[in-house]
Amino acid sequence: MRRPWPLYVYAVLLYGFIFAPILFLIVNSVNADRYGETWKGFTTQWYVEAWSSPGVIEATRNSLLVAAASTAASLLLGTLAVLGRRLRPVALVIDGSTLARILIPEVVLALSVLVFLTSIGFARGFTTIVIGHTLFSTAYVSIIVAARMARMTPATWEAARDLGATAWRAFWRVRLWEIMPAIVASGLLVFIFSLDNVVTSYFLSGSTVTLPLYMYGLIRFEISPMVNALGTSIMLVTSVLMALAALANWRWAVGRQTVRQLRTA
Amino acid sequence: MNILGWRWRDDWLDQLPSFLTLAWLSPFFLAPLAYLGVYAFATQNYLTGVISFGWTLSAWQRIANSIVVEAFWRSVLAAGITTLVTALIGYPIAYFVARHAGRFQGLALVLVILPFWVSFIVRAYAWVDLLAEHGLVNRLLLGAGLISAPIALVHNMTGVAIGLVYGYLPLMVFPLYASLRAIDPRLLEAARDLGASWWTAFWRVTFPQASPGLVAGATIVFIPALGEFVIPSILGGGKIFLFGNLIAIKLSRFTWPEGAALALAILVLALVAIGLATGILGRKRFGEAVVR
Amino acid sequence: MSRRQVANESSSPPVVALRHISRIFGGSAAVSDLSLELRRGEFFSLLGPSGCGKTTTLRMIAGFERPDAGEIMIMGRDVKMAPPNRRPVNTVFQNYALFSHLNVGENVEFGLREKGVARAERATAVREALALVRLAGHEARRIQGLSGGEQQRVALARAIVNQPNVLLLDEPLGALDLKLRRAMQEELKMLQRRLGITFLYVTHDQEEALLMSDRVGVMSKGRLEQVGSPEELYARPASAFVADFVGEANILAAQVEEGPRSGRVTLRLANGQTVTAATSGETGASAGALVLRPEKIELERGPIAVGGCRLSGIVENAFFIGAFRRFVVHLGQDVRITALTTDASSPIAPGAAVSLVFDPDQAWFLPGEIPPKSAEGRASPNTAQPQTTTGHNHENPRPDALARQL
Repeated sequence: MRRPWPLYVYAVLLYGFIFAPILFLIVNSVNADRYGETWKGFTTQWYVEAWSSPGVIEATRNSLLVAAASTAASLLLGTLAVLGRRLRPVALVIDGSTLARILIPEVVLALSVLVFLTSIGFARGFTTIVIGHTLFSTAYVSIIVAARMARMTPATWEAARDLGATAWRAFWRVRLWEIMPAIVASGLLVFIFSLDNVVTSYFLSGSTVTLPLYMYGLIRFEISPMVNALGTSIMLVTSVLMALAALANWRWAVGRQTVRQLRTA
Repeated sequence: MNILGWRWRDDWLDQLPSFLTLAWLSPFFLAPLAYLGVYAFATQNYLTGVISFGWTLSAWQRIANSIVVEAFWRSVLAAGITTLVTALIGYPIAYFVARHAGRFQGLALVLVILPFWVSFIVRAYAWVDLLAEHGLVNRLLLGAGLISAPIALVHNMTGVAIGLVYGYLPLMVFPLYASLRAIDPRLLEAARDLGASWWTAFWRVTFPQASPGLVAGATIVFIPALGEFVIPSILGGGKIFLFGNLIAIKLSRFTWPEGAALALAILVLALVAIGLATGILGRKRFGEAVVR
Repeated sequence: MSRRQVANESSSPPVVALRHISRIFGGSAAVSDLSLELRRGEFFSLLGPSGCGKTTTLRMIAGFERPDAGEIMIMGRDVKMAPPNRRPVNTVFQNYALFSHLNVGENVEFGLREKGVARAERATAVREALALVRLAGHEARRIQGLSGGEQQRVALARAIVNQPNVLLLDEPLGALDLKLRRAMQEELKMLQRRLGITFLYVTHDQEEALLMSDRVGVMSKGRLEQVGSPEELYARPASAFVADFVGEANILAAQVEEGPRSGRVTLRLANGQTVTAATSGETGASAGALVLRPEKIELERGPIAVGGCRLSGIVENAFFIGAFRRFVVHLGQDVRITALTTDASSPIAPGAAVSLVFDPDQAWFLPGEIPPKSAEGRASPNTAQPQTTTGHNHENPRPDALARQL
């Protein structure tokens, strides 16, 4: 099989399929035609309209806050869950619930939380969305961190303890840094998931509107080119974040030294 | 206290994470699921809306009507088709990236997943536009002479299917890619050496070796697709009801026993599917390790 | 069957005392009924093949394994329930276990920071420790850029900077190449003398153990077979296992004909020939194993009347190995002896009849012991050196050992 041309052609076609809506999106975000059917000239009016809308601003702010809160919480709880696997019987429960949270349709998860929280009198609002997001985010954090931990030997942890560190200190000074790449990677992943989340947010938000919800509302009832502009903006931001993550990952070992030098300066 | 296998005095710190994790899992995951279970077997007075707890099947009887059953089978069908189609069109691309992308493997993979990072809603919306009567797809097809009149591609099952396939494609490609990449190329060489044609080598060597990836991919596509909510909502134009939508309606209108029963039904289905997949694969670490 | 344990002759109390330690893993005993005392300032090696329990013993002292029975006392204190960070011992791990996110200096000062030592004092201590291991000035280097030998020395510095009562070394030289290993062995020995810290060194390389140690403890299958100075172990092994493991040896099955009387015994070998040998004087056994070191045997041409300390046979094989000649002599009835001579004058060819002459004090009889299968009168020809590990595969520990979940 030297050069499988049919496969190459197929790949091109498939990538085309994958990117068609994206390209469509980007093009139409600057298309003066409201309905995006023909090209009517370059314009930035949709961006202006989108980003000057108070609804958009507030929704963006909410999304960022929710994402930040749920990411922080899920990094903490997700890592905790991975550490908690050490106890054999608990490990089963943890693994099972991690798998469940990924595979069970989000609808079921979100609604079960809703039912539960409502039953105990907890009102919907900012907190409930964060809880909902954290719930499925921790599953992803757990998986990524667990995968990283599985590749580590107990030797460095033992060395830390041998040198006088308590269990907590050994974790804090050694283990944590070893799994840091996994934490950063999963943190980014989860942040983006949260920003983009629709289902959980839909059911667990009270009056708090996140950006996806806002857009959902827009397109439900009308054609809105603002959505294209918003979508493209989000994509840009997300891509930048991903690029930063890749860069950070690569620079990790080198960067740490400079950071520490800066600290002691 | 050596029940927990403590070695030293401060081992309790070692085991603290386990208890803390149980502490947060219980209210936020285990309890809600338990509640679902309880509600599914409760009764609700439909005049007053009051729910009384017992162990009855009244909720289940109420949902065993034609609408629900129809939606159920439609969902199963949709999820099944999605799984099948994503497998069919995803396999070649996974194969391409795993075997023929060489240095660009990372890039090729990222390109498959990049659309994931664009807001879900927006992508669905873009498809609505593309698939509309005056949309690009129709115009292309018309222009190429493949059809004579615009076909309804959106606000119907077809649109939903396309949306589902589009959305779940990366989830299928990833595990496939992972397991394809893990195949030792020398196995294929050996097969070719023994005189097998490319096709035979593929079917009898590559495919079986990559089957864990296929099963993993099928699982992580089928099960979530069963409960898919957003895509039918946007691309179905409010006319298509899949299981997810149904659950949403039931639960948001406080007809909780019925909603819970539906949710439980999907849960059982999901567990069955997971059990099947685990049985076939052994340890399902595969699909997980793939989530990068 | 006697297990010799050299009595504690030192006047100061033992630094480490293990009393009847056992550790059982899933049904089989990794360590069983082990008792040992380490004296202050000595270099002690635990020697044995892989799986004999030496590493487990070390880990129990360090605190990473808990004995199922017995007591562990360090500096007179019972440390059984104390976690590793509370024991006055430090460990040099097999694969160094350096913290890759810290540089050399930060690695070395790790223990000091945990103790709360002030920054200035830490810096001084680190400088001194690094100087001791000949890495002065390398504080700012990254772990990734270090060679194997350098990593090893950083691990060493990191441990000794805390001035532990005992330094535990778990096969630290296993990952190094031969030349580097030799150099490090000497360095370690000198370092130990200089510091005066008690070293507990675990290894499967008997040459290494003999070279560096004040005392050696040989372990097999979880039990301590013998503890003594290298000379004692070599000249007066307590069991066939020790004789076989330490150095090269001819171990022959023998029946007691006369004695033992005043330390001497007359034996009959499987081929009918008799010899006189030294023994430890315990009576009662009618058979046992005779240990003859190859280099203690001289060859003379011609079969002379046997008896006393002469055996006769036919040369089966002769090897020239530079400084030595190695002969495999067949004595009849499948009894073979390997002899090593420095006589390079006129070589004795295979087929010639020879006499094997040795001093009865050099022939050591072990009552009740059975020769191990691999050393039935023949030392395994692994290398050309006279003192090699016989018949045991060198385990090369892989640096990327499979992980246990933490």
